[in-house]
Amino acid sequence: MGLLALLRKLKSSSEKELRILLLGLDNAGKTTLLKKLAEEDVSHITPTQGFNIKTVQSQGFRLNVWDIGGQRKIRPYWKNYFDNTDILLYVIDSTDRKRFEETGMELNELLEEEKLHGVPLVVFANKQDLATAAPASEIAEGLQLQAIRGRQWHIQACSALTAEGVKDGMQHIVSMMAKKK
Amino acid sequence: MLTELWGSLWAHLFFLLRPMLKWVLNRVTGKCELLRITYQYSQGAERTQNIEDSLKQSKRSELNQLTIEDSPNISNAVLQVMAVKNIIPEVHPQFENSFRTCLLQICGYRELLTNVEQLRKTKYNSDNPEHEKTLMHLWKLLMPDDELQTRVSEQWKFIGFQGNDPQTDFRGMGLLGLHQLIHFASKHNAEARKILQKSHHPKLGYSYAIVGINMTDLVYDLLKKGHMKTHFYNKIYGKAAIEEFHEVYCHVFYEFDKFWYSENPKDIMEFGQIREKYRKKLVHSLKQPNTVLVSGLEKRND
Repeated sequence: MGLLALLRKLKSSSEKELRILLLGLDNAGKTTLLKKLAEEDVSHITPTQGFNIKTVQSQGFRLNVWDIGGQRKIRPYWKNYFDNTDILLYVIDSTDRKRFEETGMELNELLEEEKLHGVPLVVFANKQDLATAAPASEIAEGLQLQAIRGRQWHIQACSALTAEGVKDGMQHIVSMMAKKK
Repeated sequence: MLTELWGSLWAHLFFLLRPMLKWVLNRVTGKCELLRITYQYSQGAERTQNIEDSLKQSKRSELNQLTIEDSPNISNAVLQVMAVKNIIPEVHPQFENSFRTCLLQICGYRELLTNVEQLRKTKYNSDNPEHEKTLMHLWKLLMPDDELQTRVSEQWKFIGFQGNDPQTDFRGMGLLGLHQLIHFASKHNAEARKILQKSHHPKLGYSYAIVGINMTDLVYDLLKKGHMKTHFYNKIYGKAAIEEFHEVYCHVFYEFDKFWYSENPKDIMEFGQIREKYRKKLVHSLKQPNTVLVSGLEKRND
């Protein structure tokens, strides 16, 4: 085997690239989660106009994470980022009970998208560090995640701010990918 | 890799050779480094930054301390440095004043950063009547002809907040974000409202308030990383007040708006790239020693 081929093989086996789409309503904590994954400072986040993208190395995977702004005005652009998505991460502000219905509706629309057909879903029930946060089980029930068919899914309680639960969520992503292949 | 190695080698070499070089120059010119700098550069960023570097690299802790300490007594410090460095006022009459100005600028920048940081760390809190009053004032400044129907209202989206309650949009910029939006809308009302109006364009438009908060993040980052020194050392021969920083914000926002439209974006999703391009442009211009951030905005108001 030539050196170049050997190198290429080494690279492809050790570095599998994944495209991860990070969606959710505004103020859910998508950018904070993105920055936490990239081990960056999360103390001066601002609302996302447009999108952010970061590449993160995790357990032999190269994750290209796309964080798209969540404000209503921007949501029509979400569909431009669906192509070739390996995993959908959906972030929910667990303290924002007033908008549980809205976030559930957005999620359901996403699950019906042709281009996201069969794409594994991880719901991050974020902001668990706050006393008023609804527990992940309650959110799962409200979103009727049990009714999901034809894709792997997982709900993860977390706090992107303190990083609690973020690693566990990422572990699930990796094991989902292993199952899928 | 090689350039990195060369760079670090050079830095080490420079560190070793610097005292020697200084000694030689001191003998030849008969002047210490601080004095040489005040002769070599005229008042402004180049002089002050060289003084700052010299103080930082000094082996004397009392000089070093001047670049760390919170609000040192400047007059005492000037006299002390002159005594330590044997600078005779009769021989170098300009030094005392020049050096005092430099110290004021250096300490002023540090104090400015402290004040800005404090404001940024203060979270917007809707239970605080003072905060609420300021937010309402922002509405009145930008929308003088429209009454806000209720405190939580879809109307906020009209001035570019994301939802019906602006409080979650300040996030990591805290009160600093709100104060800067207010400063722009009150000191340059006509321009701010014109920019707001343009921002409603269906294709090229953006969300005024959250882009404004994003611009706060931009100027805050430039301040924190020290890039803003060029501007402040060239513009203010003393301590810069926080209003001066808010003025820089107005300039940066105003110029960003022009830059945005000149880039002819396809839609709002290009915001990230265009903002990064603009940031690089700003950093580049702040690396030029004579830069002062003055826009058409300020010239018109002078």
